[in-house]
Amino acid sequence: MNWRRFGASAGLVVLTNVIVCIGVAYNRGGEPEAEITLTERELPLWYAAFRSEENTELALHLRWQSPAHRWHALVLAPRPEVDWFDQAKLEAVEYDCSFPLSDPSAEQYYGKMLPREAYVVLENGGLAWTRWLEGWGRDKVFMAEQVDKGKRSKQDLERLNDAYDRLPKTSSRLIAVDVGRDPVQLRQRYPERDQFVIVRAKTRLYLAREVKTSSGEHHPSSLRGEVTQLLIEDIHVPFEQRAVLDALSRSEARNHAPLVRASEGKEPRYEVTLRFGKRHEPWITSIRPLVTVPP
Amino acid sequence: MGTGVAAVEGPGRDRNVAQQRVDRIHAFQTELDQLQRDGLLVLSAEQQRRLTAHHSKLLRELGQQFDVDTTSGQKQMSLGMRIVSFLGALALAASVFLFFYRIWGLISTPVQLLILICGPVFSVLAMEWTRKRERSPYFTSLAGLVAFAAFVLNLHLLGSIFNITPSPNVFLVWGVFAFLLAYTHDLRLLLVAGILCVLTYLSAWFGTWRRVYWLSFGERPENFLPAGFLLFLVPAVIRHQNHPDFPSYYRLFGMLTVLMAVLILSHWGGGSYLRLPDKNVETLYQLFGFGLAGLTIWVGVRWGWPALTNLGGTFFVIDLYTKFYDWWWEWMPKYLFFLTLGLVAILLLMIFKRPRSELIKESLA
Repeated sequence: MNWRRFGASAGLVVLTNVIVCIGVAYNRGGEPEAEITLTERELPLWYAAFRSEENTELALHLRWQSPAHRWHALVLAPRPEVDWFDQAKLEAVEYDCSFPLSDPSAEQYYGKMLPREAYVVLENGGLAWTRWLEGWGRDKVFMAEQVDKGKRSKQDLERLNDAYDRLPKTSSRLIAVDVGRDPVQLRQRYPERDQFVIVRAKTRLYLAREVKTSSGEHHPSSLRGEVTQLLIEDIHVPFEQRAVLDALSRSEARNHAPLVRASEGKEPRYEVTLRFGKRHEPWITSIRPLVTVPP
Repeated sequence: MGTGVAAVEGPGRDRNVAQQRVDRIHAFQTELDQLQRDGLLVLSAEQQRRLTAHHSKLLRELGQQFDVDTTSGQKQMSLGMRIVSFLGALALAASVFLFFYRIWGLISTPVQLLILICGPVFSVLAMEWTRKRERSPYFTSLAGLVAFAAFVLNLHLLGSIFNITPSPNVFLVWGVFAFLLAYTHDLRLLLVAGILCVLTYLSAWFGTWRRVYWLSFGERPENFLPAGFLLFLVPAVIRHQNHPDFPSYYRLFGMLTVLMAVLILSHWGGGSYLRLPDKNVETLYQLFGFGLAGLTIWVGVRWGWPALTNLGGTFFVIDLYTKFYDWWWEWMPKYLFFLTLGLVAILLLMIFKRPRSELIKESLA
């Protein structure tokens, strides 16, 4: 047996694992960068309904609300309070916005822009959540006007009303409120570590075309940003923290999947304390039941 | 009389060189038989006996020492064993993956970590063990692929367990591991795995250099061009004395990557970094694609790399036929379209015939 040859390959395996573990220890060492308490609304058992004996992993899916969904400005009422990802923010995350929007090839130029990584601030509840609910309230009024004008059906309004009624109980209160390249600067701007978390995310630029609303409002072409995905959205539940979730997911039949629960307007059943470390990577420190857990 | 076995010795390359020697002996024997039948070369009974004895001894020694295939039957069996070894490795790798997925929710984090590290380490140990006991590479190759799969699983699940941000660096580590196993055990499948990992890493690196989020590197096929060229040039920079057949893999996969990226861009101008109208980008890459395919054929012929010649030829035809499809499929009657393709094939044969004749003339001179 060639021990040198074996040592080189096995050494690489061990060394890589040691480096990864040092990184994890660095992330989790010292004071956490943020610590927040979330409920099933923000951290549902997303894949629990699809679990089988073949995969015993348990992960919670981080649900968050993205501002500036493209369709909002066009289909429903404008939401200036959440539509904060403008050209200045795009430039802050180093998108090149220098090409004039009046140029005929602006659409092609900006259409080719690829996603960029940035740090995103998520606010748990608080003012962002209140504004979010207010925005939905305006959507209801806007939709009712559209129905009166015969532009939308009554079913559209009923669907929106149903969704609005369920919001306070089921919707995630974790809302993206800012974006930047430097997490230190963002933390200075949002110092409450139990309310604001800073995470790494994928962002995208898009060109919002000129819009003239039926009420005569004119929105010129502009560059907008979108947070499309958090880089870590599935959070592993360690073996030591599984007891509550195992009991709940055992009692949860396939028709009680998170989306079904949300559509039925059911209250959250557990809360989770989530810490974020120096590398803005999260981990679960505790899971507590909010309902009586079945044996 | 020395048998010449020593002439093939050397770390790593032993078996390949020994197999080449065996193939040469068989070719020599066949040609000698033909020359003797034609009466052009007649060996005396003593010469014939000594030659036959020498070859028999040499084949026996090479067979014993390097486990090479000394008959065509053995060669066919070897091919079958290679296929079985590959399929077995795939099945075992799948088994390792599925086993861990089945148990990892039932064990604590330290035990998970221990199992994940032990998987690739014990597989490498198994490689060493099989290599010591088996002269043929099939079991070692199988254990090697399992070791690679276990290491992929190791880092992938470590990322999941500790919620680590995805990084392209993981492909570099996987690539280095695959190369280590490939070079120390002379395994081609692991070399290919290493090439693909490093190709992914380099392409992602070029993407991030352009400030693109690394997982979006595939949205710009141009990210693959420098990576492909770099891999193609590896054999020119690093000598492969002990692994004489490895350079062809670098050249083949490097150029395949480049030609594939160019082919995609010649039909999808929107995927380019170039700030030009899509049609212009497509035309540019179509011309580049034809030129590059032609150059690949020439390089293959010039330096005697048949795999590269075939690759260039294949892409030249694909480039040509996809263009014909774009131009004529819609408006031409289908029989006429295929007739045109057939006629173009005949025309290409006529064109290739001329340089081939010149090459034959050169070799005869």
